[in-house]
Amino acid sequence: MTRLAVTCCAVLAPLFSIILGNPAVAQMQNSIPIFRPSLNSDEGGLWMAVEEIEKDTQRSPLLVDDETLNAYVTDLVCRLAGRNCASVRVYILEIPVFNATMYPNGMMNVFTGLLLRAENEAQLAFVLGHEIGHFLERHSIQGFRKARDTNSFLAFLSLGAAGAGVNYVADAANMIATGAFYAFNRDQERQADVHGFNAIVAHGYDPIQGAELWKAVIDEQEANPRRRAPSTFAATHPSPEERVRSLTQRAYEIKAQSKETTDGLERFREIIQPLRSQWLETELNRGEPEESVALFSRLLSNETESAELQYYLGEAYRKRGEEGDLDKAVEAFESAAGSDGVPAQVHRSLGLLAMKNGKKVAARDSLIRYLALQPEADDHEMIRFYIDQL
Amino acid sequence: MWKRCFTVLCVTFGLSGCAAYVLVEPDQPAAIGAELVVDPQVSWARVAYPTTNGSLWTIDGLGLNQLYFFTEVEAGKPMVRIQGQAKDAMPFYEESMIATDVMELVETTLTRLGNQQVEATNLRPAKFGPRNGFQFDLTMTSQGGLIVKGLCIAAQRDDELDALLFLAAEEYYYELHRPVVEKVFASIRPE
Ligand SMILES: [Zn+2]
Repeated sequence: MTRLAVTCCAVLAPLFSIILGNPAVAQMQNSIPIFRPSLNSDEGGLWMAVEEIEKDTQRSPLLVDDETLNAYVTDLVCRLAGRNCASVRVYILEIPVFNATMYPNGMMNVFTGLLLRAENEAQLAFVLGHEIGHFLERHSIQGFRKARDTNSFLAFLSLGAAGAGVNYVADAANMIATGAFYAFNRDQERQADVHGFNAIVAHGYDPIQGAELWKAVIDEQEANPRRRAPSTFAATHPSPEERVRSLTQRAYEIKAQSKETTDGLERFREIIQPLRSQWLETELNRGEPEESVALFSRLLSNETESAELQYYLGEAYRKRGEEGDLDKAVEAFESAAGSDGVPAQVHRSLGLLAMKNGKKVAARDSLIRYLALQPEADDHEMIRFYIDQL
Repeated sequence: MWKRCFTVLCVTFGLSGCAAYVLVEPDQPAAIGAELVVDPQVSWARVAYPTTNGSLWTIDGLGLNQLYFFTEVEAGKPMVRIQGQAKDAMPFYEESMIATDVMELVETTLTRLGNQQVEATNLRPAKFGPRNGFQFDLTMTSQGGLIVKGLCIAAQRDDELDALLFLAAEEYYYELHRPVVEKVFASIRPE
């Protein structure tokens, strides 16, 4: 029962490659015809298996249906995919881990954990471009063949398949279920990084943003002493240092040409910020507070005035509970409590911490304030019970 | 991979296969843990649940509904232990916890077991036998993509936690059995 894990295809990476394009976006001029493998091929069998997964995805309760967000991500993917735009279908899923995955049939899954972690449009574009790279290079069929040929259990399933694509479906479904070919090899990851990098350069984004995001995600994962599962940058990938180093070096080469670039920050924030509090909440509820502390601290360093981020950072400290963390939590809550747009829950958190520390008057004041701001809070009965005890 | 399959709840708490069932009679008080009994109300099937010191009942089958008994969970121990997992894979119960912390403990445990969008709401005081306890509702998406609802009642005593957790498919089964489960909760008493 491992956590759903993982990160950009890099990570657990679900399956494979990417495709581009998007149904919601008008087909671009000069777009290339949608590729479709022959049914009488192993690739055709893989597609059929993945199409079943896509049907499940369309019914998934995790699907995010916000129209503005879907249009935004879809449009970005389409621009990055260029002529292949029409081949990609984007599904945004409310899963708090850092990941985007591309399936060989053109289904792209973008997790809200990626949207929360990207600091600007350039960073998001880099990851999407990386995934599109796996798709264009058809890395997944290579992984599929390799896993099939080296796995006797799956080879056994293939007996009698007689080359008909339909019969490959069982193989593909089993391999998907067992994770037999999730990981791309080092060369494929390097290639995908190059795709992501070239895509953001070609679209005028700041080239350093890809390396910045990788670095941040590595730091976050390394903050977690429990992380035993391969991190996003697991063994089959180029080492994290190598990846960041080569991206950084390329970025400086491009920057030396002193072309004007953008990070797309304004548009990104306009779309993301109104939706973010739900994602902050699910990140916190992921139960990995060490990583949440690293993430929220990083986001807060770009938005020092955000009461929302201060509140969630305080909650992450409280949940991490290392020595000194409760004081840091109180500090974060207090600084949030003094700002505009503070969530009412700040007073709840302050009150409960004070109560646990035996500070009855402060606890009572904060809890009363919380209920005054949110009389219909779902836990009002419990909070009233506490107030009566104080 | 959100296959709608009715075996999904089996993995909710790390059950791999489904073990032998033992009938729980509707009209015989049933012991839960060393010190408590409840009135089952209806016939349940009890299943050996090797990963905790509690037990597990179901009415229609583990894929559809489950009632977990986590009794005498000690401070410094997790509610659920799964063989082969690292010691710190699941969060621990701690003596300093208050009701809001216990609710988070249940949320985090369910999340680390692979469920998504786990959300506990409506925390409220509730009698747990003669003790002051609390109750809350849960919703989540299981690993298999099934929407699951839950009801949890718990109470703390000294350095131990007792909790009963009912989980069922949101579609049909949760509302169907909730009244029975509430009666079971109301019947908790010392042996
Ligand atoms: Zn990759």
